[in-house]
Order: sequence, then structure tokens, then C-alpha cells
Amino acid sequence: MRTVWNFSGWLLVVTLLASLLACVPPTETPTLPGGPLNSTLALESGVATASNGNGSTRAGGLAVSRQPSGVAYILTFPQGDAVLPPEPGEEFAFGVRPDGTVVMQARVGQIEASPDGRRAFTVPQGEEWLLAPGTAEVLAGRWVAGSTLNVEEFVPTGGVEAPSFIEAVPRQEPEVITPLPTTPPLPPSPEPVTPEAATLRLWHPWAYEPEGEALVAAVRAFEARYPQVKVEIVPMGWTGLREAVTAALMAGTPPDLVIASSDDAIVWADQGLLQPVDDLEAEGRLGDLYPAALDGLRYGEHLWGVPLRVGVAALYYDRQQVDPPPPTNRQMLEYLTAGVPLAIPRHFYYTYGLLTGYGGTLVAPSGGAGLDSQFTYAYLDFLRALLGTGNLVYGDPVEAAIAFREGRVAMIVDGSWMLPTYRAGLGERLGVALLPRIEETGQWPSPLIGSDVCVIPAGVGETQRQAAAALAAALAGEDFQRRIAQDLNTLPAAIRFAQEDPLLEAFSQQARLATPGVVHPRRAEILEVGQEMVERVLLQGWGIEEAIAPAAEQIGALLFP
Amino acid sequence: MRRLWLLILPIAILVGLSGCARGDEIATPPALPHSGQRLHLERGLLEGEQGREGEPYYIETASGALIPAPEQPGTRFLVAVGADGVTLVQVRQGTVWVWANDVWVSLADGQQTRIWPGRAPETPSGVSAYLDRVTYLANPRLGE
Repeated sequence: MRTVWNFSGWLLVVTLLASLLACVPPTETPTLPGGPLNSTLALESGVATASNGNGSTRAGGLAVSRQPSGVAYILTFPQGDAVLPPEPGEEFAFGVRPDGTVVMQARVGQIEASPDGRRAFTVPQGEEWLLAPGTAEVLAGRWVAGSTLNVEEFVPTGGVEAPSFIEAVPRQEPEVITPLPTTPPLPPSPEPVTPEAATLRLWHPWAYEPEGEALVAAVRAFEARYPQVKVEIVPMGWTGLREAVTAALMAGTPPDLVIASSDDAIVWADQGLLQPVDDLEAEGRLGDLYPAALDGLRYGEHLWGVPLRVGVAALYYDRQQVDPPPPTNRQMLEYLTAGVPLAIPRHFYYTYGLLTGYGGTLVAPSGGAGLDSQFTYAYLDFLRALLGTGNLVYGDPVEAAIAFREGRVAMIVDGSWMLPTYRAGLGERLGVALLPRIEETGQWPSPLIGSDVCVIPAGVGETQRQAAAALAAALAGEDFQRRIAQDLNTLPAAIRFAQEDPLLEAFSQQARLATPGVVHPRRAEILEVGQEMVERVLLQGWGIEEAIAPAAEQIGALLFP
Repeated sequence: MRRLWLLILPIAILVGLSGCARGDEIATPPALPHSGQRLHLERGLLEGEQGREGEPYYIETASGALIPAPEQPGTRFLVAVGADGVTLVQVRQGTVWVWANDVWVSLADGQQTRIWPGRAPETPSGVSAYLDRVTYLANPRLGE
């Protein structure tokens, strides 16, 4: 009995002790050596994107809601460089190639080197740097907005033999030596076919614009090169040209070459009044033009014109009132909430980019109307939130432009054609930025692109057509395109000539993200329906769903009558 | 008296077991991060060491896995995303939580898990060899 008592007693004691121990919360992790002060993440190879979705640290210098002291992590690289993580709203991308070369893209915000790394540097916003092992030299170039790092370049799927040792970079500031070309060099342009003797009649709408003068100079240069070709230039205004050309086309007595809007070109193409210019593209003469501008002239499986000058909306800002501009939609809203006013002209054209950033569209991938979607809802909700701050000037385009020029608003969404006007008004204070990225989707807005284009009317004979096509291709070439950028300070259709001017380059980046939206002879009416939908929500107090449904129906009826 | 002990003994054991159960509950996974400092690993190899200071961060991988910053300073771990989209997480020291497809797993020293795109993490297992840059680049298919 006593043995049993002793055994049972000890067993009870042991069991109760075990129970008590089990009740004590376990140590969450074993005790470790203290670890470094800052967390480190070493990107040994591959591609990573760093972003920070915390609240803004800066809204025009007005709002500050910084996280607790200390950075989240130091990102280190095998060649010895190290960088700090992004500030709120910023986004960077990094790649490490098998040989240890590091690529850094400062997509939104600037990348700051960490003191933990071997050298100090700053990668400015919008730049892409290549930092190779063992050298102080750094190749710097522009980051093409929307472009991503190709993972195959960094980690080939089939595997690669990588060196086990990667040489460190020297402990000195990088020598930024060679700007990388942002546009790959074009293959040599084919020698144009020499036109036969002809006298061309060219009608254009730039009678009251400086482009008209530049056009005359370019045409005279063409005549000097091809003395057998003479060109009679007839300048008109936009409205007069549209009426005159339409009448001449209908009467069967058109000029040999017309400069018109891309919208007019599609209307005339739909009526069978133009000749396609597929041959110029097939010959490689249009390879340097913005793809979206060309896409805006494709209709019924043909290309109907040669873009000369493009128009796209981006964000102008007054550096004296706001710097940096808001990189994301949420930060834009924060800026307005903090009292930084923004103007958006009252037309669907200016907010269409935001719709695409939310994932919305006018025409669904299936070809049907695409407006009735949750994306349109989110877009309208955002516009309504902007208006709700009381700091959105949403009005007539001229009034909005005057408000910006006079400094009554700090930012305006406006077209590239306004650059000379705003530059004259604001001078060095003027900045241009991409439309803000949409944080909810991570997408950049794709604003609408339009262009002034050369078209060749139907009925122009073969000899005349050959000379007209040669002149159109020449106007899309270096001489005239450079004049548009440098002398006229607006956006040429050729990508490469905007790069020497940082403000035009910002528009160029925006144009590379742009879309024609919808290519249809009733495009203007479709955009009007879109605007009506926006105004119903913003100005007439309609519910969002209530406004979307009839607009989607109307657009469907216009697209598929 | 003997009968009394026979009665008390199972009760004590049950109390002990329930205590163990409560202990497990204490080691709850961290909250799922939705914003803040995010490092998205598209494809590649990342080695981490947790520091003593700084705001939280999380690592997200192309296969949909989330790895919040470990709580314990000194935790050392490795995250890799393969060319086949598979994520591999290995822990050298400390404890690391991994989330994918609504399932959390906790990895202790010397453990690893793999995550196939769209699936939950594998049950943790022992690390046979820690991945390094040269080995990874030679064969970046982590699901094989």
C-alpha cells in the first residue's frame, strides 16, 4: 500500500509539474545573438521590386506622418552596394545579373545608397543605373515608364554557370559616365524611292500655328532634294480645312496630300475617301514613331496616315507650390486634402488615363462595350473624392489653363500642346510628371493619344501618290521632327527627338504609355458620352452605377449601331 | 486512498494536456500584412537577417507567398523564387512564418518549406542543404 502511495504520489507531482510547465507560455523563439541594428536583405541574384504603401511623408511639404525611427531594411547587393528602402509612395526595382551587375530603376522617388554599402550615390527618379562589379563606373539612363526588368536576363530558366566570387566595387563615389540610349538605335532607314516629276498640292490646318512655318521650311528642303517635285502649300484653319477637304473628297477633286487630325482621318477612311499607307510601314519608314499613334490610325486592317505631331495629357505642376508632384493617385488625393489645388479641364480626354489605370476601358477585349465595370466605378469614385476635397478646379479648359498660369492652382492635367504656353508663363517653375500611378492596381495610366497626320486621298494617281508618300515619310523623318521638338517645343511623332528637353521627355514617356482608346469614326461622340457620365456624377449628383449604365449602353449603340 | 489517486491522476493528465494546447495557441501567426514596406521577389535569391530596430516589412513572392519580417532579432533566413514559380524558404536561425493560400506555417532553425503557385506551403521539413547563389543559378527550378 505504501509503495503504491509513493508511486502514485510522485506520479501526481510529476504530472502536475508537467501541467504547470505546459501552462507557461513557451518562449516564442530560442534566444538568439542580438542581430544587427538594421535588418538586411541581400539580393544575391534575380529581380525584386520594393514599394512602400504606408501613409505619405510629404504632401507638398504640408503633411508629415512618418513611421517610427529606423528603416525597415537595408537592401544589399553582392558587389558591395547597399540602398535604403522606399519612402511612402515610392517604388524601385532591382535586378542582379549572374555576373553580379546590379540594375536599379528609380520608378517613383529616388534611390538613396545606405551608409552600410561601399559607396554613396543617389539614383534620381526616372533613371535606370547599371552598377557593375569591380568598377566605379556606372551607366545611367532614363527608365522608360512602364518597362520592367526581364527576369530571363537575370535568372535564365535553363540555368547558368555563375562565378562564385564577385568583385566588390571600389569605396568611392560612382563615376556616372555614359547616358544609356533610351531608345534602341534604329536600323538604317531604307533609301527612299526617288519620286518622279510631279506637282503636289498640300493642304494643312496650321495657318495660325507656328507649325505652318516649320512645315514650309521642311517642304522647301524636300524640294531641294528632289527638284523634280514641286509642292503648292495651302494653309487653312482647322475648321476650314475639315470642310474644304470633305467637300473636295466628295467631289473627287482632292489635293494630293492633307494634314489633318487622326479623328478626321478615321472618319474619311471609313467613308472610303483615303488611300492606305501600309507600304510606308512595310518599308520600315515609320519605325521611330510612337506605336500608340500608329495604332490610332489602324482601322479595318489598314494604316491610314503618317503621324507628324502627337498630343497626350500629363501632369503639369508649379515647382514653387508643389515639389515633388504626387507619384500615385492616393498621394494626389492627399495633396488635395492638404490644400494643394489641382485643375482638370472638363473633358473625358483628360481623365481617360485614370480610367485605364484602374483597369477600365471603353471597348472590352472581346470587342464589345467595356465601360460597365467595377473599374469604371473605382475611377468615378476617385474623381468624386478629388472633387470632395474642395481643391479640384473642374471646369472649362481655357479657365483651367488660366488658373494654372496665374498660380491659382498648383497642378493641372493638360495636353502636351500647352507646353509652350505654360513654359512662357511659369519659366523654370514649370514641371511635368507622369499621371499618377494607381496604387490599387499598380498600373500607370494610359492617356488618350491623338495626332496630326498626313493622309493621301483616294483618287490621287500613282505618280502623284508616290511623290506624296515620299513627302509624308520625309515629314516623319529627322529634319521636321527635330524642328517640332526644338523650335516649336511640342511633342513630335518620332520618339527620339523629345529627349533633349526634360519636360518634353516627360511627355514622351507618357506617350509611350498612351493608347488610342477606341479607333472608330464616331470616337468623338463616344468620348462625349464618357464626359456626360463623368459630369452626371461630379456635377449633377447622380449615383455612380446610375451614371455608368446608360453611358455603357450609348457607347455600345455607337460602336455597334 | 488508492482509488482517490486513480481518480486524480487522469484529471491531472487532462489538465496537463489542455495546458499544452493553450501553449500552442500562444504561438499564433502574425497578422497578414496588406500595406507597408513590401519587397516583391519576382525571381531570385534573397538572404535575410533580422535587425533590432526598424519598421516592419514583408516579402512577397511571385508564387503568392508572404513572409512577414521575423520578430526575433538575429533570425537568419533565405527566400528563393525559381524559374518554375516555386518559392523556397529556409531558416538558418530563429523562427519564420510563411503564408500562402490562407495557410500559415512556422519554420524553426534548420527547417524549410516550398510553395507552388496558388497552393499552401508544404509541411515544414529539415533542410538538407542551404541554397546558395551559384547552385541556384545553375538550376533555378526549385520544384524539382
